[in-house]
Amino acid sequence: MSVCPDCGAALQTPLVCEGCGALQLISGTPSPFEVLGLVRGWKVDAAELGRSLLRLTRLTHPDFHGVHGDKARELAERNTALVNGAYSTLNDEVLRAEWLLADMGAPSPDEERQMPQQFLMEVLEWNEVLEEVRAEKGQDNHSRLDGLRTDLQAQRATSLERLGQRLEAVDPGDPQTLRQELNTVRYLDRTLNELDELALEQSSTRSA
Amino acid sequence: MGYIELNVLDSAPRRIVIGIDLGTTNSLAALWEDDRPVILRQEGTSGIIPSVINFPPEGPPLVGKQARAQAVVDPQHTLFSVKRLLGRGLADLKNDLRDLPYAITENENGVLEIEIRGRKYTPPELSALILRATCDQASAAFGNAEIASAVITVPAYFDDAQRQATRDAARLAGIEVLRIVNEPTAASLAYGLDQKGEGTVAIYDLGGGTFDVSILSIEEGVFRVLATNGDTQLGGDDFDREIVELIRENLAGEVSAEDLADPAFLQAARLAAEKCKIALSSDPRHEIHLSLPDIGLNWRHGITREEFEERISPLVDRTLDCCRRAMADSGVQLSELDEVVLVGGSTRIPLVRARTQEFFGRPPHTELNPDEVVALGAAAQAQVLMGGTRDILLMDVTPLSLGLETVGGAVSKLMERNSTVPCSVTEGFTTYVDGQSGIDFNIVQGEREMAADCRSLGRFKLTGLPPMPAGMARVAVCFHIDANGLLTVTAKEETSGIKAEIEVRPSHGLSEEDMESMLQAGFDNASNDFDRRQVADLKAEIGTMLLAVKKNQAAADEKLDPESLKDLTDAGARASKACDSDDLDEIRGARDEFEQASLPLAAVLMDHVVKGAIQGKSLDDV
Repeated sequence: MSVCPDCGAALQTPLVCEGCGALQLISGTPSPFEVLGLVRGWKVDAAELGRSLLRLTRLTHPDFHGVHGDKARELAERNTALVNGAYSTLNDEVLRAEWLLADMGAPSPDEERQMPQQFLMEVLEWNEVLEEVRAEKGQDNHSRLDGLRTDLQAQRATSLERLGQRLEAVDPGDPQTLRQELNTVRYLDRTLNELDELALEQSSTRSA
Repeated sequence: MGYIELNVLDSAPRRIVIGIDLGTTNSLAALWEDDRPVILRQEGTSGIIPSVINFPPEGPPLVGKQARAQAVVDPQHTLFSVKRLLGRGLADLKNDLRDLPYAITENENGVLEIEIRGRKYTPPELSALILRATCDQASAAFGNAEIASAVITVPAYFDDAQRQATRDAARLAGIEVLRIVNEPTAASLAYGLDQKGEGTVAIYDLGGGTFDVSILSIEEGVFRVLATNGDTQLGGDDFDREIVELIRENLAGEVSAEDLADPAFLQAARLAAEKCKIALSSDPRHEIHLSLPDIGLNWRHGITREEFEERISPLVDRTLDCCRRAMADSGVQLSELDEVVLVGGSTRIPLVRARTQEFFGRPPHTELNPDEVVALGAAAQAQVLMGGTRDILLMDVTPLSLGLETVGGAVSKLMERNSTVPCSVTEGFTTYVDGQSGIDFNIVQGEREMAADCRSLGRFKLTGLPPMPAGMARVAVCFHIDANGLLTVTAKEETSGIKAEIEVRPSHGLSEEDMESMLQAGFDNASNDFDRRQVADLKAEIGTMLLAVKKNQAAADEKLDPESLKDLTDAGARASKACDSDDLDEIRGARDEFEQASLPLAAVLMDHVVKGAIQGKSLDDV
C-alpha cells in the first residue's frame, strides 16, 4: 500500500489521502475495487459500497477544490469521475460480473455468442408476447406484462446466483460457461428493458 | 485621520458571489448571507426581472419591466422567451417559430440569428443582456457590490449545446461562471435547507418554458440525484399559446386572417392569454378584453377554467410521462417517496396540482415560493463553491445518454443517462487506411437507437496522427462530462504517445471566433459607456468649479489682477457652455482651460488660508 506524499499516511484508495485530504495524481488504471477501497470479489455489501462512495466523494468532489485553482479542480474532476465509474460498475451486478470476467480473461460478449438452442427458443417466445401486446394497442395488457416480468426476473435471479457461486468458488471453472451464463442475464435484461418501455407506453395517459 | 481611511474602506464596493436563476419568463438573483440564501431585491420590489428585451430606435436595449411595457406598442422589437432558443437550431423549434413577429434564421454554424433593427443577434447575446441586467440589479440591491462570479441554473434536461450556449451568454455578459447547476437540484437544496427535510424527494419543476422532474435522495447534507427527466420545450408559454389559439379560433369569423397574424395583435393576444391563465388559477372564469383600435377590434370573451384545462390537459400528461420515466430510472417506488415538491410558476395552476397529486399519490409540498426557490438554491451552491461550507454536497447526473455514431448510422453508447457527474469514459479508435492522419466522429446525445434521431453535439475531428499502417494507430479518446454537465473530449495516440489534436465543430454553437468578435463588440459598447460616464463626471466637476468661483467671487474681484479675473470669467462661461454638448473632447478641453484659469484665484485663497492659519503662531508650531 502506498503512502501520501504530503502527510505520509497510508492510502486506503489511490485517489485521495483520507488523512490530510490531498488529492493524489493517478498513474495507470486502478480497479474499481481499489478505487473504492473494497475487497475484490463477487460479493459486495451494498451499504458498504454506498458509504464508500459518499466518504470518497466528500473528499474528491470538484465543488470543494475549485477555490484551490484550475489544476486542483481538474484533478478533482478526474478522481471523482473514477469514483463514480467504480461505483456504477460495482453497484450493477451485470457490470460487476463483466469486470470480473474480463479480469480473469474470459471471452467478451462479442467473442462468445453461442447460446443453447433451447434458450434461444425461449427468447423468441418472450418476443412474441411483446409483439402481441404491442399490436393490441388500447387494450389493457398490464397483467400479461406483469406476469412475464415476474417470470423473467425470477430467471434472472437464478442465473445471477449460479454465476455468483462460480465466481466465488476457488475454481470458477470454464470461462466459456461463465460467459454463457452472463449472456443469459444480458438477454433477459434486454427483454426486461423492452418490456418496461412497452409498459410505460401503455400507461401513458396520452395514448389512452 | 484614521476614521477617514475607514470610511474609504467602507465605501469600497464589496465583491460578492451570487446565484442566478436565468428563467424563460423571469430571472432572479440571490446571495448567501448570515447562514442562509436571500433574494437580492431593492426595497419595495420583488427582485424579479422579466426576461424580456426591447430594442428602442436609439440607445441601449431595454431589459425587464421597461422592455415588457413596450410589448404591445413595439412588438417587432420586443423579445420574449429567448431561453428556448439557446443551443437550438431551426429544426428544433417548430411550435416556437410560429407567430413570432421577427425573423429567425440559422447561420452556417447552425446558430440561430434574430434580426432586430437591421442587426442580427444570436441567442447567447440576447441571454447575455438579461444576465447583465440581473447582475446590475443584484449589485444595486447590495450597495453596488461587485459581482465577482455567479452560479447559473439551467433546466436539468438541457443538453450539452444548451449548456454551452448558457455559458457563452455569461461570458458575453462579462460574468465568470462558477458553476452551472440544474434547476430542480438547486430547488432541492433550498427545500432541504429550509425544511431540514431528509429522505427521497421528487422535484416537479414546471416553469415558463421548460419542464424537469428529478428524483433525489437527501441524507446528511448529501443531495444525490437518482434520476432526472424532462422536456426543454414545454412550459407556461405553451399554456399561453393554447389560449392564444382559443382567441384566434373565436375571432376567425370577425377578424381577417391577415390581422390575426399581425405582430401587434399576436403580442396583445399573448399578454392577454398570460393574464387569463394567471386569473384562472384563482377564478373559475375570466373575461379576456382585447382592444386594438388599429384593426378596429374591441373584443370581450369569457373563458372558463374547464375550457382552459381541457386545452392544456395533453401538455400536463406529457409532464407525467416524464415523471413515469424518471421514477422507473430512479428505481424508487412511488410508495417510497417522502415528499413531492412543486417548483416553477406554472405549478400554481390547479390542474397541475391536482394531476401531480393524483400521480404521486400524495399532496405536494407547496410552501416554498415557486418563483424564488431555484435562485435561493443557486446561492447556497455558490457558498459551497466559495469554500464556505463542506456540509452540503450535490451529486448530480447527466440527463441524456452519450454515444457515437457507428458506420451504419446506429448509436454506440458511451455513457448511460442518469450517470453521476463528473464521469468519464475512454474509447479506443484506430485508422482504416495506411498513413491516415485523422479520424472523424459524430457524437450524439439522446436515447434513440439511430444517430439521426438523437441530437448531434458536433463533428469531432482527430488530427495530427503520425503516419502508420492501417489499424496500427491506437487512439484513446477520453470523453469527460464535468460537474457542470459539460462535455470535454481529449485524445492521445498511444503507440507514439502523441497527443492528437481534436477539433470540435459543434452542431449548434458559437465558434471561438464568433465569441471573440462578439466580445469585441461588447468592449466597443463598453467604451461608449465609459465615454458617457466620463462626460457625466466632467460636467459634474465643472459644476462644482463654477459654484466654488461664485462663492469666492468677492475675493476674486478684490484680490485678482484684471487680466486673471477676465480669464477666469471667460473660461467659466465657456466651460458652462461646453456642458450643453456631449462631446467628450470639447468638455474636457473646457474643463482643463477653466482649471488653468482658476489657478490664480486658488493661489489667492490658499495664501489667505495659510496666513490665517499661522497667524499668532511661531514657525515651530506650523
